[in-house]
Amino acid sequence: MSAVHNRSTGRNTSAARKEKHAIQASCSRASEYLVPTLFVVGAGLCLWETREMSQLGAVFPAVISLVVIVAGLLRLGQLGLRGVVASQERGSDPSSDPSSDSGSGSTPRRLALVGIMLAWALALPWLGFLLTGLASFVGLMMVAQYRRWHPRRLAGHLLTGAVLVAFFYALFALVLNVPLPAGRWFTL
Amino acid sequence: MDLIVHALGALSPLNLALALLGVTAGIVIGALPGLSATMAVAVLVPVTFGMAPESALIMLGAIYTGAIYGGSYSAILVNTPGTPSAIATTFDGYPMARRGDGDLAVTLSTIASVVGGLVGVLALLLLAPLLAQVALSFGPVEYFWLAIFGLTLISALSEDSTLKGFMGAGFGLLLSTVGVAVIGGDIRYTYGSPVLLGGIETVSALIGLYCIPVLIDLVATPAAHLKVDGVSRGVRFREGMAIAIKGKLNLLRSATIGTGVAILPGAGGSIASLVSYSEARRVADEPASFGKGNPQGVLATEAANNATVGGGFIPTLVLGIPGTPPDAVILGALLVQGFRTGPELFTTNAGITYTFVAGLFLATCLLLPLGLLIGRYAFKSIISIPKALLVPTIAFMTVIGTYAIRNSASDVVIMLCLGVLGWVLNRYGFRPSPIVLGLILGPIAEQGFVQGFLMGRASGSLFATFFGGPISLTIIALSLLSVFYPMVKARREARRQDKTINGEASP
Amino acid sequence: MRLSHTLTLTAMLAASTLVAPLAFADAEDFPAKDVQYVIPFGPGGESDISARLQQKYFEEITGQQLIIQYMPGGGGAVGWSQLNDMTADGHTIMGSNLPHIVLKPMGKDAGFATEDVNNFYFFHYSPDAILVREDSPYQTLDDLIEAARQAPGVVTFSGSGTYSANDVANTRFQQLADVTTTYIPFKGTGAAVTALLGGQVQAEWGYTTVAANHQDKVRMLAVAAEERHPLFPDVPTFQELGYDMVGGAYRGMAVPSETPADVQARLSEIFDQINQNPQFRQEMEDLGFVLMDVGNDDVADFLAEQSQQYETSARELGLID
Repeated sequence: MSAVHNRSTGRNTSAARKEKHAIQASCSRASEYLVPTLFVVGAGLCLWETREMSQLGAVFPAVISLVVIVAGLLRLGQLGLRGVVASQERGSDPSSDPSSDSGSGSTPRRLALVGIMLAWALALPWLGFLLTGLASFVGLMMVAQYRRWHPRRLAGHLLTGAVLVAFFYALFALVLNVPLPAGRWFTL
Repeated sequence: MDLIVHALGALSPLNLALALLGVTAGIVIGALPGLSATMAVAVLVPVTFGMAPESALIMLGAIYTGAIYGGSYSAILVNTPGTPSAIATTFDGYPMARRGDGDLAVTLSTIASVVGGLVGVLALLLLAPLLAQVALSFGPVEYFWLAIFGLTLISALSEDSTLKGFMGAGFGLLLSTVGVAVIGGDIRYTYGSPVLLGGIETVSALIGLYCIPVLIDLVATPAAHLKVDGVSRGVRFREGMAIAIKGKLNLLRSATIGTGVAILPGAGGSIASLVSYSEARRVADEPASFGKGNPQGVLATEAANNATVGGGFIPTLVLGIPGTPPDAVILGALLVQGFRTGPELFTTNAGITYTFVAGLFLATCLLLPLGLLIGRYAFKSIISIPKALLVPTIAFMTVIGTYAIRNSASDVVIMLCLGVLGWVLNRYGFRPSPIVLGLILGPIAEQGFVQGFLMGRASGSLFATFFGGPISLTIIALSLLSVFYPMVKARREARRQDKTINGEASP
Repeated sequence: MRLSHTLTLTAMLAASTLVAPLAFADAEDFPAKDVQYVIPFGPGGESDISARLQQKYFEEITGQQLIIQYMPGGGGAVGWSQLNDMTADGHTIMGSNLPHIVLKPMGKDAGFATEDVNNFYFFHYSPDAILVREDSPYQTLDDLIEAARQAPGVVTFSGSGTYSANDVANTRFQQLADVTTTYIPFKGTGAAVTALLGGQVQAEWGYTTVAANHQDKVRMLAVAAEERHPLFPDVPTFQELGYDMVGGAYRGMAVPSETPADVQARLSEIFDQINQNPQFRQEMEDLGFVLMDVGNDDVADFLAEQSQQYETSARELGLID
């Protein structure tokens, strides 16, 4: 917090006062307005859909949609009245914030992780559990690796991966009797 | 002194071995996200058909106890509740692990689980027939108010903006209405997709909202998953005991709340631990430290969720109404074995009951050595596995775990989508916990409200139905207290601080 | 020991999973491996319990295990909508429930049609029954009807679900007895009976099974079966009292529609054999179920007959026009 004070003393006092009351954005200033707006719109759509439901089925989603709309509008009002400061302008304390990682770091790797997992989930019923499991394991291993691959490390990791996949497969399919998808090779 | 005879019966070498096996298997299953206590028990049921009834019951109780406890590992170490009961364990357990106190958190969770488990078992042994009547006095309206009380936790869970918390909880509540409505039979928000007919599965949503964001951020940097000091400090048992003794009131209160909530068949372990968490936070001297790695938060939730094991058996055995989903499976197994539930289980058929209670007692005590042992191993493997293996392993567990809940590949896609959404929302200051709170409490609130409405309309007075009962009024009062007490407290604190500052300024 | 037996079985299962693609469906040596029995509901319910009772006899007859799986959601819709995507070699069967498979598809977006569920056997039903608390002032069905007549809508019934067996029964009863009651749906039979025991409702639409489970706390006023249940010789049937009501929740098994006819016939044979086992019959009756033997050849007629009745009720409920 001291960083904030030091920085604001350098400006003129009225601006500093305004900034003190202003809401600190979690990310960018625009997003602070955008997300509640999306919530209001989404809740509005949910409310609109309750028209087609029976009275008993509609009452709960309608009330909740209204609560979300009211909360969203209040938030927008609050933002409008007090102003928003983007988080970069007011140095935030990264150690206290559990979401501090969210802004920094490698976006391509994040996207790769989501992409691989999504492909995995979608391919699961078609290619079967073992194949997709092994492929994604290797894929995610590559995404999460920051140091250079030595042949020995790579071989070790691949072996561990294969053993882990086999272990979980045995645990779920054989001990717990979960019918894991075997794939639909014939209908492809 | 039947009790002692039966307790000794439970201690035969075979039963002891079965209990050991059951607790170990339970801990492992519970620790894997997606494999819930319900599933652990259901898988075991056919195995127990061939056993003597006493051994079967002991093993079922042991695996249940182990699974509820095991859920805390993944909650603490990878921010993913292994079972829904461990949701609140993530609030403080994961921040503790992040700052390098994962081993301590696991030890605390073990101690708290043993204490909570014992309180629950004692209540089952001594007060069961009496407490079962309490379960019956909770009708739809009382459940509705209980859900509202649970929702008051939103303000505590949304650090920066309560309004954001409300929006998040509203999103969770709306998610809970997806699928076929129990009352009215409407098919809501499925957009024609048969996949959504069954609704959003709570555990897969939990895995998505809590675990996927951790994975996404894990791959983004080369930094280690958890902070490690480099020195192995064992299980830090002495340190853990010291904290537990300091928090003994918290432990007992949470265990009592856990037992009490578990008696209500419509509530369950997740609500028990959430309620005791919010109570622990409310009475604490520095509520702001909760959610940032306060050890008392871990103690409160773990004491409460293991107390639900014994507590949940009270309505199950006395009334034949299962208190929690795993109880439903065990009750089914009992019926198939030819047992009848009812008060006779505590009088004429007391033998089997006492053996079972003794088995639960034994399993709970076994948690301490086994938990510390397995917990230490789990902690060590999480910190020593290189990132390139940790990420795919966790990802693998989330996928297979989500799939296994309902044998559904579509659930995996839903889990991922919620996970990505959760990560994005978290970035904009919307925490996952209010969303999950809404998702869990939604069905209870909705069904309670609409059933209460139908009852009120039939009796001619809606007002008397919703505000008439003493239990309803008590819960309403508690909800109001939970919302306004922090404000009053904060204001009083501010005034006191003002005074001291003024006092310093003027000599 | 039993445990090592299980381990052996697990090992055998492992082996059989590996050779599974080689095994071909043939009625002669069916079942060649363990049979997966998917219950489209959660564990602990009546579908689960009755399946668990079949489990042990299935192993005795075939030497293979019957492995129970759960695929809950949407009141069974999640399971039934996926039935025909499953392996059609007879080693995957699914629990099937009436009136669910008839009533669900009448609503919009159910995800399956009644014809999609290829039933091969119906083995029992839990007859509908009206239950009141032990200390209730209503001693007979007439007392209850009288109360409902004097104050229309004031008598409340709890029951499981909307457009369910209980809901249908209540609608039909209102029509036959010419009374108006308030039906309050709960999530499952357990919640409905809790509301009855706790005094939140005056009566419950339940089954003989519920009465069997809570014998000391509830009184059954009438049973919707053809004859009195052996567990409750003193409780009259609706027909005896002049109301033409026979019905309840029927349970059977179905296979994916591509399953070879001879395998399907063999499955029907196996489950018929279980149904004839006196010990199994006794266990089922003790829990309050009523056994019935509707085999592969009779299923179509049975379904047609039941569907007709449900259609009438569905019209009453406003589910279809």
